[in-house]
Parts: sequence; C-alpha cells; structure tokens
Amino acid sequence: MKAETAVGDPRIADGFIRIVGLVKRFGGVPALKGVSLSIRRGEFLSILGPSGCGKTTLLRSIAGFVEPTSGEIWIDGRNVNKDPPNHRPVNTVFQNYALFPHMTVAQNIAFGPRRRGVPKSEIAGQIDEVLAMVSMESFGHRYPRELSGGQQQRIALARAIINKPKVLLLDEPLGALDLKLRKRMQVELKRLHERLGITFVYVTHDQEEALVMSDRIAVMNVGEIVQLGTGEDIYRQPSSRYVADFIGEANLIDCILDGAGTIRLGPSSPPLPYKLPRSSAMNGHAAGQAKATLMVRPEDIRLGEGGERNSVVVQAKLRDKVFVGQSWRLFAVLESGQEIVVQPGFSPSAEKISRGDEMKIWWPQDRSQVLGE
Amino acid sequence: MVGQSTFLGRLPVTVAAWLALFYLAIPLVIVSAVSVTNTEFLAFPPQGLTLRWYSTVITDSSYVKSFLLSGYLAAISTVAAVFLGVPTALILARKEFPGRQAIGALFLSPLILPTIVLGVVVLQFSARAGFPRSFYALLLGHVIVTVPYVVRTTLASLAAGFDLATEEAAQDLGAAPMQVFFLVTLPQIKQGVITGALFAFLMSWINVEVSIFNTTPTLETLPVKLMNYIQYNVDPSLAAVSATTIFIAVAAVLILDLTIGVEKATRGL
Amino acid sequence: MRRGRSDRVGLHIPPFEAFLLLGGPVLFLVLFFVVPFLTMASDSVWTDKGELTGDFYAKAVADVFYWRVLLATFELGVWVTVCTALIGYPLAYYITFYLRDPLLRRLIYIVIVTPLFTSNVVRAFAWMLVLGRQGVVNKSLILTGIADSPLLLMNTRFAMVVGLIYILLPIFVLTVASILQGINRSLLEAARDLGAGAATTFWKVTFPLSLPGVLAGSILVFTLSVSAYVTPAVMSGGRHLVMPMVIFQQYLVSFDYHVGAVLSIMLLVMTLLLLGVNFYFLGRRGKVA
Repeated sequence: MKAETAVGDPRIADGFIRIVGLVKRFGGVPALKGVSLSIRRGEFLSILGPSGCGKTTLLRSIAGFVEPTSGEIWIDGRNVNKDPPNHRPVNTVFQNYALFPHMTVAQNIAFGPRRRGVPKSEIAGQIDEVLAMVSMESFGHRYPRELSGGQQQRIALARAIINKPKVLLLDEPLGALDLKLRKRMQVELKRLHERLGITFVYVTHDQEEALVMSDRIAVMNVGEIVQLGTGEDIYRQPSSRYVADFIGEANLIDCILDGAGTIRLGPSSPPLPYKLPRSSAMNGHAAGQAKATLMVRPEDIRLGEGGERNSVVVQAKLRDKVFVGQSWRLFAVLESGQEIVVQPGFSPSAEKISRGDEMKIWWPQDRSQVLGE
Repeated sequence: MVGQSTFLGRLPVTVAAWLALFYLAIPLVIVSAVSVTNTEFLAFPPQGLTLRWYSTVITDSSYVKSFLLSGYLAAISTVAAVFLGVPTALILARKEFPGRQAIGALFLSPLILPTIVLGVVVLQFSARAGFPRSFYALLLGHVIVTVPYVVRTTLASLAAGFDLATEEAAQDLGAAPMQVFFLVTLPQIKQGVITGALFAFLMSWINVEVSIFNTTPTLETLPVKLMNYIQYNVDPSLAAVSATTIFIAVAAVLILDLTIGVEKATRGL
Repeated sequence: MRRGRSDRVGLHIPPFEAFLLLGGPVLFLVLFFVVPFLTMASDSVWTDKGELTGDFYAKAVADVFYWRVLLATFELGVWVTVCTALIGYPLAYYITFYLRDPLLRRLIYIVIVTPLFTSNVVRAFAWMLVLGRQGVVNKSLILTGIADSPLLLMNTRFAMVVGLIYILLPIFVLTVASILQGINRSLLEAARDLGAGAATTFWKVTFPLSLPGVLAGSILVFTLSVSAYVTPAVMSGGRHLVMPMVIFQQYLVSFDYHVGAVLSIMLLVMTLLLLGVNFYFLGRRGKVA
C-alpha cells in the first residue's frame, strides 16, 4: 500500500467521488460500517468482495437507492445525500440489466434523454451513436425479450452511457453471462472506459474481473474496505489473510513467531530469513511464542536449493502431482504436516519428481509476506 | 411420467372430473335453451324455436331500465374502484410503514364480510345520512364490494414476477416518481389492473345481496328485478333475460381468455 | 449474489405523496365502510332512545328459534362443504395432472369460470328449471318410467345444497388447483423413484401436500355457504330458513334492526372464527410447500 491509499482520511484526498464515514444499517444489522473512499475522476475502480460484504449497498448508496444511516457522499464537489436517484449525475448498469420489457431497444435507450428534454431529432442520432459503440447497430426496433443475455447487457450499457453521466455504476453486470462472453465483455468494457473517460465504479465478486479491468480495487469484507490499491499491489502485498485468500490463490503457511521477531515453521525448525518490525499486532505475544501466517503464491515457489540472494528454502515431501496444461501442480507437505500447493511453471525437475520424494523448495523472499489475521 | 397413473387410476378421475364439468355447464345450457321455446311456459327441451321472448324483454321498458341501471352502476363502480384500488395497491406494495398489514386487511375485508351484512350496513348508513334507497346508496355499496378485487389483482401484479430494478432504472435515468409510475410501472401491471377492473365490473353487475336492501321498484338493478320476479312469476321471458346475462358472462370470460388467459387471471382468485 | 435483489426497493414514492395516495382511499373506506359498519353494530347494544342495553342479545339468545336457524345454517354449511370437496378435488386433480391439451384446458377453464360471472339469481333459476315439478329431472324420471309422479325436489334442503354447491364449486376447484400446481413435481418423481407405487405416491405425497389447500378451500366454501342469501332463499322457496334469510326478514319485513344487528354480528363472528382457522392453514402453507 502506498500513500495514495485514502482509507481513513478521504477528506485530504481530493476525490471526484468522496465517501465519508458511510454507515448503513438495515433494521439494526450493519451493512456498511463507516466506509470512507475517494475515487478519482476518470478512474476505473472496482469494489470487490464476497456476497453480503456490503459492496452492492455501497454502490446503491452512490446511486441514491439506499439512504445511508450516517456519513456523506460527495460527487464532483456536491453533497448528494439529499438528492433522489433521478437528480444524481450517475447512471447504473443493473445486475440483471433491468431493461423495460414493454419498450423497444430504441425506446429503452431514449428514456434518459427524453427525461432530460433532449429534442427528439437529436435523440435519434445519439441512439445510433451509442448502439454503434456497443456493436448493436441494427437492434433498435427489437424488444428486450428477443435478445440474448449478452445483447441485453450491451443495451443496458448503451442506455446508461447515452446520458454521459459523470459516474457510471456497474452492479455485477457480467454476472449472468457465460465465461467466454464474460472475458470478451471485460475487454470491451475496459476499452469503452478509456474511450468515454467516464468514472466507472464496478461492483463484482470475481477477483479476476477486477484485476483485468480496474485501475484500483477496493476489497470489502463485512461492511468495511479492508484494502485499496492497484491490482498488482493487492496481489503482491495483501494486507491480511482475508485479502490474500480472496484474491488469487495463496498458500497460507502457519508459522511460529518468537519474542525476538524470528519466524520458524515448527518449534525445532531453523529460523526463516524474515525481519519483522515489532508491529503492534505482535506486541501482545512478545513474551512467548505466537502464531504468524506466511503467504506465498503457488507460482512463486520453485523446486531446488534456490541460490539467489534472499531466497527462502524449506524441506518438503511430495504428496501428489497433477498436470494442469501449462505446468505441473504439486501438492507438497511441509515438516509441520501442512500441505501447500506449488506450481513452478515449466520445470524439468517437476517432471521427474514422483510421489513420496523428499525435496527442497524455495521462493524469493520479496514474493512472500508475513500477515496478521 | 408422474400423473399418468395414480391413486384411483386415470379413468375414474377423468370420469369424475367430466361429471363435475357437466354439473357446472348443464344448468346454464338449459336456461339458454328454454329461452327460445315457443310456449307460454318454461319447456325443456324447448318446443319450437322463437326469439319472441327476447323481443318481449326488449320492449319491456322496465327490463331495459334495469339493464341500463345495472350497466351504468357497474361502470361507475369500476371506475371508482380503480381510482381507489390502484393507488392503494401501489403504496401497499412499495412502501414499508407501520399498519401496512392492517390497511391491506381493511381493503380486502369486504370480501369476507357476508355480503348481506354489507347490504344492511349500507342501508342503515344511507338512511341515517339521508340518502336511503338511492343511486348513491347503491353506488356506495357496489364500490365497497368491488374495490377488493382491484386491490388484490393489482397488488399481485406489482409483486409476483415484477422486476423492481426496472423502476430503479427509470429513476436512475432521470424519471421523477410520477413518470416512473406511468411510463414503467403501469405498463407492466396493466394486465392486473384490467383483470381487477373486469372482475369489479362483473361483481357489481351480478350483485344481489347489497343491492336488494337499497333498491326501490323504480330503481331496480337487473339481478334484483330477477330476484323479485322469480319468487312470484316464472315464464320464458325470465329465461330470455337470464340467458342474456349468461351470454354476457361467456363474452366476458372469452375476452379475459383472449387478452390475459382465464387460467392466469383467476389464479389465486 | 442473490442478496442484492432482496434489497431492491423499486419505485421510491416520497412520504407526502404516499400519504396522499393512500390517505384518500383509506379515508373513503373509513367514512363509508368502517363507520357505517360500527354504526350498524352499535344498533345491537343501543336502544332508539340512546341507552346502552344487552336486551337485544338476551332476546336473541333466549329465543330457541334463532338457535334452530343457526343450527340449520351450520348443517347446510357442512353438507355443502363436504360435497363440494368430494366433487371438486378430482376435477382440480384432473386439470392439474391429466389435462395436457392446451385448447381443451382453456375450454375447461371457461366452463369453470363462466358460472362465477353469472348472477346467483340466474344460477338459482337454472336449478329451478332442472329440479322443479316440470323440471328436467322429473320429466326424465316420468318419461323413463322410474317415477309415476313428479318428485318434490325444489324447495327442499336438498335443493339448497345442490344450488350452493353449484355456486361454490368453481371457487373450490380454482383454490385447490392453484395449490396442486404449486407442488414441486420432482417430489412426486422422487417418490416414484424411491419405489412408491402410484397410490402410495398420492396418499403419502400429493394428498398431504395439497391438504392445506383443501382445508383453506373448504373453509372458504363453508363461510360463503353460511352467509349466502340468494341461493337458499330461492332454492328453499322460503320453506327452510337459514341465518341470512332471517337477517333479511329482520330488516325488510319486521323492521327490527336491533335484533337484525345482533344476528348480523353472530353471522360475522361465525365467519371470522372460521377465517381465522383458514388464515392459520394458509400461513402454514408456505412451510409445507
């Protein structure tokens, strides 16, 4: 995490959208527990988290469908807390598209401009323009029920962007599409974002989707933003077990931490070469031994003795190996008995090794991280 | 295939079902048949074939008057029921507030109240308020009887299968609440409102129990006129009037079937 | 992510507008329905001189005549309910599980619904043509030599039951059919798959699952039959009284609206008690299905 992380002090960060201490309770149950977030103009920001983490509630608060219990929302310098949805400079692409079933595609798209009093003659041209943008030129006269899911998705997008909103909110818009179409739409959405220059706020539970498209990702858990940063930051330096586990695949290795800040795999194992700052999380256990978690991504682990500077070498035994296309995937057991996944890319030694073999594995120290809870 | 054979076997169930259908259809068929008999008394099977009983009815100004009164009353009641019922259903479906259930129950309660008691209530009230046995007393009773049908069908169409996100999308695209209702909500609940209005019209059209307390010999709805007639005098003209109302019922059901589908419209009636 | 959908609020109506939209109809119903109803009910405890009294209740309760009518009404309700259920269930079962042809299905629905849109008077009149002295039944019996003289069918309790079943059968069938439609077919397939025969599947799975609907439909039929006026009045020819007929007489013949109010309330209480039971079963339906 770098200085750009605005969690905790958004008032300083001069964001295009500023969310300050947002709290929402549904009948006493908190959905948002004081979320603060600053979004830059023109940014593609994803809000990532599992079901029920509050990400949709956050998005709906920005759109105006959820009235926050407390906190403020500012868009382009204006406090919009009291503005009803129809007066906010944002448009939403809904999860299941929410196209009007009784209107044609063209009527659906014209809905926004007509409410703003755009002359009919101009609307027609604008419709053609946005339909071209989403590659749906000849579909104006169709009804939503005559379109496939992917096509409906494009129309929902066109219906929103024709209004040139300051912010486009997208609520899991690709959730209902199949994998192949989803991947294609991810690229198209990213291109559309670059072309329009509109600020995109994108809610998803799919970490890959967030990584592919976003400038920054806000990871949420039970009503709070637990980490905010670029995809690479979050992938490489997750701030917690939760984030490490949620984004990408991670080995979370249980370790023992002693008072001197030394880390070992087991009580009698050699110390691993990590220098821990005496952070607050560990102070409570300074006297005796405490637990710590070491996070290493499977693709960062190699077979052998290492040899580079700062390599971490441990002993392991192969339990199983499976071929997954571009590489072998190894299931190795550490001395402590914990199983980890190793995916060393193309490697001759991975090919030769067989079940039950003892081996040495290693990873670069800067590709791993010691985590608090 | 499940249902291909069952507890008593397919045949007995089918026979029992068709007997029940026969039971439902036959009386109405007999009335229609009797109405064309060329006799002075009710004869089935009809003897001869004539429409003279229909012409007797049409030339009887008291029948025509009752017919028109009933139609007019049903039409006005339906309009009133729609204007009272649709906003009520909308608020009940879209707003959370204390007492919502109670208000819902209040609007449906005329359905469970014995209709004869409702007739009495309207009679007593209109007598005390100074308009007994008048068109307005009838109208009042009929609106109360018909409102629940509109509320119920409209509520159902606002809930089941309605995609709330479309209303949110409309607001998101800049529509004010009124515009959302007329441009997005109403077109989607149209069927429910029409079904409710049709039920309201028919329930008013055929009502006896409420009307009978509030009519006079010069202000007589058609069912009440038939009710009074039937107890003293029975002749084929009565069959002609009855058959006419049956044809109207059939027409209404056919319209319902062609527009919405009878099965769909009567689900959860 | 399903949870997002349950959070949906749809159209946002500002509080003041909502108040106006609902306030109007509520005011109408309170002024012209609730208040008149309470006025009517108060007739049962207020004398014309404005004194509070229990005399009217005492008079009604002490009169064995009313008890006899109440009993007769109840008895009629039981007969109608049992017969309607017995006739209606197979029909509901048939249209749910056997009827495949879409056109026939529509026709059958039309046959079931058309009587509902026909006045009770016309329906009673139709039965006069069937059951009367010169009616279809008597003529056939005499023609075939089964009977020598016309049987007395009209103006009997039997006629009242037949007429009421006719009124209430469509309502029962539609209620039960909608419950049967809601039964998850895979449950029936599972029962068959687990080795249950057709009969066992019906009695152990289908029937128990439809029971809440049958009970709800039956209670509906019962309440409607005890509060019906037109059909019993016409079919009995005035010879067999039920409670609604007595209420009618109190108001329009003897002009005793105090006792009329007492009897109305008795009828209403009977209805409400049963509807309470109905509500209980309908409430449980969700858990069963």
